[in-house]
Amino acid sequence: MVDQPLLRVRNLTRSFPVQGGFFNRIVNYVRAVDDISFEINGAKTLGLIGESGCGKTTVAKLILRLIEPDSGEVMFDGAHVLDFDAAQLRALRARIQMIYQDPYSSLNPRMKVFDIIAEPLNIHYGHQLSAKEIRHRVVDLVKRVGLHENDLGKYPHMFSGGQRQRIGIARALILQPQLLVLDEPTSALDVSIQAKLLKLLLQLQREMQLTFLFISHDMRVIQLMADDVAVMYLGKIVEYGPIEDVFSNPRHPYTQALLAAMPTPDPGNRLDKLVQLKGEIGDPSNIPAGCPFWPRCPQKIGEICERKPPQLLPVNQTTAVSCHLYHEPGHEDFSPLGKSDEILARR
Amino acid sequence: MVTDSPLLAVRNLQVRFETLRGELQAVNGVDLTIYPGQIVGLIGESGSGKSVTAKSILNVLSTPPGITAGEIWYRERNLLDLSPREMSKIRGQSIAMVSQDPMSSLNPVFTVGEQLRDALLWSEIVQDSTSEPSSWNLIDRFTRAGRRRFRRASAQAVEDLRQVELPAPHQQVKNYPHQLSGGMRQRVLTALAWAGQPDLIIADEPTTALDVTIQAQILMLLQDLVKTRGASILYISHDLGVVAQLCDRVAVMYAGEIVEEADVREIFENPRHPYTEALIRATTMASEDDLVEIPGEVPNMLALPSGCHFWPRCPMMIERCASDTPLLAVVGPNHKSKCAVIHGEWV
Repeated sequence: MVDQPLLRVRNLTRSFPVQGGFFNRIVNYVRAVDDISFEINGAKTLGLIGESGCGKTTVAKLILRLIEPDSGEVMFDGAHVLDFDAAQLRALRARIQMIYQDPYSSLNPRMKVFDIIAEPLNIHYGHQLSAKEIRHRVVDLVKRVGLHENDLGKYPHMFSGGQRQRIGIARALILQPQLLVLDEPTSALDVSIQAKLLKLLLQLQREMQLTFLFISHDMRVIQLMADDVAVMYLGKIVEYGPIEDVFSNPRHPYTQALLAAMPTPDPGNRLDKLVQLKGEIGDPSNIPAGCPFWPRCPQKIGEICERKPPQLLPVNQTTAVSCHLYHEPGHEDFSPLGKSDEILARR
Repeated sequence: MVTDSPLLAVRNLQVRFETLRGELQAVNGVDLTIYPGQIVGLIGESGSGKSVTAKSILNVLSTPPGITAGEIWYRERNLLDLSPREMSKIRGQSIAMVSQDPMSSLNPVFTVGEQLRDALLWSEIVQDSTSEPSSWNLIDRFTRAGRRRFRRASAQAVEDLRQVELPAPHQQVKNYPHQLSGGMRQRVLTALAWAGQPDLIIADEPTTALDVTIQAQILMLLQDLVKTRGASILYISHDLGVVAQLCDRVAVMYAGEIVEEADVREIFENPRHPYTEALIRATTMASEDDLVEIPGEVPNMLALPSGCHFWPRCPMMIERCASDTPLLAVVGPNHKSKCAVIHGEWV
């Protein structure tokens, strides 16, 4: 366990302009990520969970600076990522790698598996490593992710979805990164294949001391993989804490609804219990005032929910919730960041 | 319920495709029985033949046309004996289909109201036994009867959208599919499927593309419609969680065959095929131990293993599994399994 978290994100915000009308003027802004703070300790997993359009993938891209944030702070291993120049960024991207959702479009169909996996090595250390050394590293890694050395001469189309995702994992791990950002890595796969891939990821995490930012919409996957969980709704984190606490005792009405809506392979509890929410997921370009969740919230208190945006405030030693239900009006003046920081410091 | 005569009885269904690399047996000897008012789940991973089974019931297999053998009894008629003209009266009127992707199954250049109105018009034209149905009737605004039919269908379209709980149906009929969210599109598709008052709906993974809170709403809607209109559903899915919550009876497919079939409670509490058991554990994912290895991948349908198709991945495999073909045998009340090792036929 390290003293400071490997990744620390503070007040990250990014909105995208919506163009339209005469001369393609900017008519509106989509607040994709709104004031998000979290951190991940070394060799741990943070699960980022939420429904489509809530900004999960934008968070991942912001951390890697594939897109630039409007404001906020990203600290990786004690350094301010947002101040990096091009050379530093390149070095950073060897230490943070990403695994994508779609195993079909994320591999170049015209490259052989060996070239796909060796490409990061060639880019970052091409002039330092001999061809023999590169070959050695690739072969070694390919075996660790459960593929065969003979597969290296094949093309991606010759593999199934699960095997392709293994190629993606090998490509991400070849540079021995510290942080792996996994954006729905198994949601395109069949359950039996998903189970094997998750098992592989857990095993690799233990062996290589990897830190995961694991993005998913599937509560079962998050429950299995994550140590901490952050629940996102329309660009904001609505609940944040250790997985055992949040999943066994969900506090935010949205977290409660998400967990209830998860269909379990247990015929005992029937459908009626699954539905706690009415209406559609909100439109990120037209986020309601006050709490973004109030139009769908089954536990709405009253006018305060429509007027005042709740802050992400601690409810106990480890967990923070952004909901007026848990924060008495007297607490409104607390600096939320200060309190969240305290929580994080204690952990 | 069980005392009624079956609504749909599929007997020994075989579907083969001629491919450049040889003949592919996509569905091999499938038996399926659906009673009125029943929701039957057909589970399987990709490539197991569940969608091909569904499509061959409606005879809507696209290219290449499969070679279909066996019997598909709908009430007193074998659908495989019907002429194309007779079959087109069955489709949508007696048996309707809801497909997986709500975007590509709606026509992007017509409003949802127009599409639903046309489905309702067509249904009325087909059911009107006085004349042979023709497309002319669809665009007939020139006769008084045509105009009356048109107005009636337009009003009914709004009413049907209200029934599937689409918010503000009066406005939504004027919207194009791209203006609706995924969940709303799926509601429109559901309304379209019910337009012809069918007594069987084949739902091919209708919630796969949806978020979990929306999925819960759609499942609830399907269940309510079954209760209020007394129809049956053949629900095709790869998600055991959804099937456990929704269905009365479950059939598990592997490599083109049904390997286990039982009532929902029975199959989840007492699975009698190693494949079903592994699937259930891979879906539960309560702990890392649940990620049981089903070694290998879904088999190549062009080169199926001899004997029981599951043996190369099976933890209970004995020598005979690779040579002899097991039969679907009764292992309990209303419970059939194709594992000869489990039902004790082979020792």
